[in-house]
Amino acid sequence: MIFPTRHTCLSLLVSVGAVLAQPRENPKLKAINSVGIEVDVRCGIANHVEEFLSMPVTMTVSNTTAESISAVWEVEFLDYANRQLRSVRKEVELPPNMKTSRRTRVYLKRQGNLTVVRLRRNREVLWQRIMRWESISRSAINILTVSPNRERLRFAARNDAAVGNMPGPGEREVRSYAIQSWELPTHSLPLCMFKAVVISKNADLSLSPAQERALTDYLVFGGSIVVPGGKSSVLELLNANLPQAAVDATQKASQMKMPAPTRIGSGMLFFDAKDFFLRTKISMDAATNLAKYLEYEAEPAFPKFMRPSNYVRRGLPVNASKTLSMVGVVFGLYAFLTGPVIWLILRKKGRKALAWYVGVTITIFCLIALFVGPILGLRKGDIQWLSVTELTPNGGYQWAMLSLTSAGGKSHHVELKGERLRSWLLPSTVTNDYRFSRYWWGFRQNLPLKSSMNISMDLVNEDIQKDRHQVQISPWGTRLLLTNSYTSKAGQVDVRISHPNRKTRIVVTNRSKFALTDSRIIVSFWAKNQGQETYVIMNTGQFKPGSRREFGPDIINRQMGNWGVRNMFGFVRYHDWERNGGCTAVQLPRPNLNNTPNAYFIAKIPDSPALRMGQSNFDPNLGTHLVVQRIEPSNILNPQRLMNQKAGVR
Amino acid sequence: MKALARKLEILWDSPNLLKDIGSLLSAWRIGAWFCLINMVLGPLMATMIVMGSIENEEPFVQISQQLGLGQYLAVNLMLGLCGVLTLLIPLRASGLIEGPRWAKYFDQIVLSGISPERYLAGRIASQNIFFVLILLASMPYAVFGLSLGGTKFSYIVGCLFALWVYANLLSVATVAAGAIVHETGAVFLTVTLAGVMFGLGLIPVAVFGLSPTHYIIEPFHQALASAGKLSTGYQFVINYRGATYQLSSLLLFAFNGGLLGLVCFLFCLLGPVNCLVKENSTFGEVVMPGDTKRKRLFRMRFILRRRSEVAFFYENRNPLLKRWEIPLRYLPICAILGTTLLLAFGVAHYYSYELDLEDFSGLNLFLMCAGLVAAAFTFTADRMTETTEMRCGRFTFTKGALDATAFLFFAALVYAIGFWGINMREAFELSEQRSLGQAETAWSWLRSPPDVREVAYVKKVTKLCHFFFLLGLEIYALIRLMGCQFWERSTSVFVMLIFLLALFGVPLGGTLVFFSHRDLRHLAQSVAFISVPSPIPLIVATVDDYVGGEMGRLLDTGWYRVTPVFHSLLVLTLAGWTVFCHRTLKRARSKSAEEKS
Repeated sequence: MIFPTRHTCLSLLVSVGAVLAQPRENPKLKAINSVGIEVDVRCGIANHVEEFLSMPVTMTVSNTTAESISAVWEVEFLDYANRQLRSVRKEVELPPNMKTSRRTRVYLKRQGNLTVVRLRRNREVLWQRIMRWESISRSAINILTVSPNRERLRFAARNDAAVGNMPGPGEREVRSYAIQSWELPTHSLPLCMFKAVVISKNADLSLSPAQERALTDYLVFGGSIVVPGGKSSVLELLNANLPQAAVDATQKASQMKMPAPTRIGSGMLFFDAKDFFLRTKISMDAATNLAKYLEYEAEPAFPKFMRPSNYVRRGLPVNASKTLSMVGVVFGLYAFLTGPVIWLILRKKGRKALAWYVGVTITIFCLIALFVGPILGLRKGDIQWLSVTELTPNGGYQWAMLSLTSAGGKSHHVELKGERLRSWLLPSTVTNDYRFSRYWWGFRQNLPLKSSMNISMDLVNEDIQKDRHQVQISPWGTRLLLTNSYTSKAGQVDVRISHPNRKTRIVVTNRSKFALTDSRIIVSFWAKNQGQETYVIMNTGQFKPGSRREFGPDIINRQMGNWGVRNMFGFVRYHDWERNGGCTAVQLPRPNLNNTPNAYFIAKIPDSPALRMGQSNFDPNLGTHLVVQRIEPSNILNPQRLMNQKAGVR
Repeated sequence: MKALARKLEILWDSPNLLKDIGSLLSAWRIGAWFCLINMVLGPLMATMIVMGSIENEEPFVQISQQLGLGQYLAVNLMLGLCGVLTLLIPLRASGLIEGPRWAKYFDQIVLSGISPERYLAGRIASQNIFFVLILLASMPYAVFGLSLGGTKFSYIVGCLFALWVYANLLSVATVAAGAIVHETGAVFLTVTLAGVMFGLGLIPVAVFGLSPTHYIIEPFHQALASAGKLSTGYQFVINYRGATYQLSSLLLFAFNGGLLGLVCFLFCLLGPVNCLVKENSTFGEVVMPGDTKRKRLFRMRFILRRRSEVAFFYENRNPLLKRWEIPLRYLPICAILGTTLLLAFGVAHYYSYELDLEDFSGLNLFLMCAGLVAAAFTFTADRMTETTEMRCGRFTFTKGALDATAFLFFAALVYAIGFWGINMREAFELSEQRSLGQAETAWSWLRSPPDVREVAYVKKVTKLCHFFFLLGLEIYALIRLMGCQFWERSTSVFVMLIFLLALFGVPLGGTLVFFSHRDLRHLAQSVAFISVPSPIPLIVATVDDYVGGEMGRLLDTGWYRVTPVFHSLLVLTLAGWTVFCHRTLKRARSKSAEEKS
């Protein structure tokens, strides 16, 4: 039997996921929408699930009914390894009128894919949600439909290029997942896995406040919601939770004959005169817009933080220089009244009079200063909404999204900067003009900020222990700090560079911790030309997390050969050849601890180097004498042969 | 408590405090101080606003944007205040001894019997009034910073607390230094040291948390760190059993500053070492044997006279201080010196694995030398104090003997730490190579030569450790010998340096001249032995395998191998000579005491 790799498991799961997405009709269970029970379920820790860790599922429940409830938490999940649907149960006792929530946590074994979480009392299902984790393909366009009969989008079932602007074979696939309205999650996080939520005209929208909030958050965070045109309960629901500016926009758009897509926060609201579910072709107005938007513009939404505007620090407006001159005059007057006046005019006064004069003068100027600050700090066009959204699966791509809404319709000079801790050199593809360095990313541009804006970035997730992003928005002094820190389960890589020439000062040890998930490791060094030509052999070893023991020969991934010279140099940026001599960078893919041979690199450097570990700055276009290649173990065991081979002697 | 309260009342009753209050709160002085503060703070704030608002990539702009203008200005304001205090407090704290001496009424102060603590504490206490005055003047600026937003009130309060501790520390340090050295020098010394600490505190390294500026500028560091321009090395973090604790730089400074202030105050109470010997025991008049034949110019000994006057003043101190002088004087010095040494070695070892073996060895040796030299210069005496008797309860020892003991203790400590550091590193390297060798036997052919090289290098450095220890002993013996000859310590140190230069440099230079000059080169082998006193060839030969040029030729002669033996003999000779001089001085002192009695 062939053991399924993670990739096949995922593929399998994607296909199975669509089937599982349909809640199975279990005749023994009766689903009810229980009033008086608030439930919130979250997976993972701060939305990160480490592959090698067990995954926590935190369930919070409160019972505001007058009756005591004894129920069972039931978590069904798909076990990757066994390809079986398994379940975990935990009893919970909810006393009546329980105002504080009770939290329950179950830990699923690794590689579990959560499918259904439910709160069950005997055969009655008090609460149930479909939760997926990693099972939804990011390459596809996922759409969630909310309808009484769990209808899927008809056009999404088709997959041919002839249908409107939808992708053809080989392009992005559209997948539809259907739920009933009561199954909507109470947190926006699960919703953000979908590019759009299509709500049917007939959907029953008697949702709990948390569900309403989740839906609105999803929209503001960058999600797309398709609602029926005209007056509808969906629109009322959304308007109740949106700011007035957005409400005006939605009202205006919904009353149009051909309603236009309306941007709310960083998301998009689509109106459709007809019921979207009935469409077999989407060549018409709103549907086309939706399709275009989903395909080419919409970014996945993923809420992380939403900061209220009072978090934004006050600063000076751009045109504050005129006011500042007034401040200068005030303080000049203060300096005059407390300096020369006391010194020259009041010198014959008694100590008591002097104390009064000094005290009163300082008090008056303190009061003036107290009011000068707020006057300077006031600015029009204050930022009303500010949210930064991001998705950070450990070892993959990262999307960051900034959503701004300005009340005064003022253009803001927007500057985004990011910081990475313990990161390695990897390229990033921020979808705007940006500058990238080891420690920070960002860009700066003037954006007309009439109602809202949306900036998205694809950041390569790096092998980082701690990730911290900061978003800064000008006018200066305005700041939003988004901190996203996490610590992953870390291994350790030990890199040693050594060579046989005893006169050369090397043998460098560098230990770098890295995550044991989809990690990539870049090992780099630079060399100075100081002596004769020599070979530098770089070996990497991996330590077991938490211990100092090496793994022996099972160290480097067998894919090392694939990550050859091309890839090695592909990630190195700048090189000061004259000064530093030569350098190399080796990128190792995710280490695999099983059945992998050792791998070595031999770097031929024209002059004898004094090596120091450092971050590599290297431009392959400048040319180099450095050769890095994989050496077979047979050559390693025969050093003379190796040297002969290098010297061209046969 | 009552006794303490009574003590504090007496201090508050100091004539200096009453005098200072009267002078500080006069109109023209208040106006002058306010003028000065506004002249410093106003332009500083204006400059900072301009620097922080120019739209470019300057760090000031980035910091101001990240912190908010209020916080940005608050930091600058506090830094400005700190700078003002650094300059003004030592200046204001001076003049306690030199003022009366110049006005020729210091003898009246001494004869009045006023205790030194009461006399000096008044000036220290009056600095608090001056501090409040400065705070009042800067209050509108602080309120402006607060009103702009972004400034935490707790930060302002924390800064004011740090500045208060700093102001008191400066004043007590100046007064203590003024009692020991000339007050001009004391002010210069305090301002220089405080200025250095001010500058070091701005550096984002945790060790410099001993300065108040480190706490004040911490928001800047945080802003730069959050922008990825700075590592988080400015935070003082302790790792204990896997958990990480971050120490507040404010508390760190307050604790250290308070401790240092207490030590300084203790030295205010103790004063300089009693230096009343036969030659200056007529209240300040220093009359040396043979002065009647000297001209007037050569009979004027200002420094010795000042020292004897201050010594008379400190005869009024509490007898208890005299009874326990040895622990009170030596323990704080040993604590400060020891802490500094341990801190320096600790930091070096903490970062040692980021350095390669040679760099680490160099740093270790440098710290060892610095520790030995610092101990040698700290525990030394001159002819006036060499035989001064100090007490510890019922026991009495001479200062010379105590200094020698303290130095030997520190020299042994430094030697042990340095030696241990090198060998620890060697053990680490070997264990690393061994562990790697077990895993990858195929690489042993490649790694063995560096192993040999490293082990050999460590052995060489260990030899240097021994040799530097020997040189430290030699320098100390020389300083002590010179101290027995000269009345002033600075003179003895100066003469010692000249002697060392002559011993180490001149023979070596002469030998190298022979080697470099073509006509003299045939004589060079014969005269190479004169370079034996110089340790330089030995050090060079130990550190580097191959040295070219004249030095290489000199090393080829092999004379440098005798150098350790020569220096060992020199140490023994100097030590014996110093002991002889010490005994002679002691005999003379006891003889004069008998004559007096």
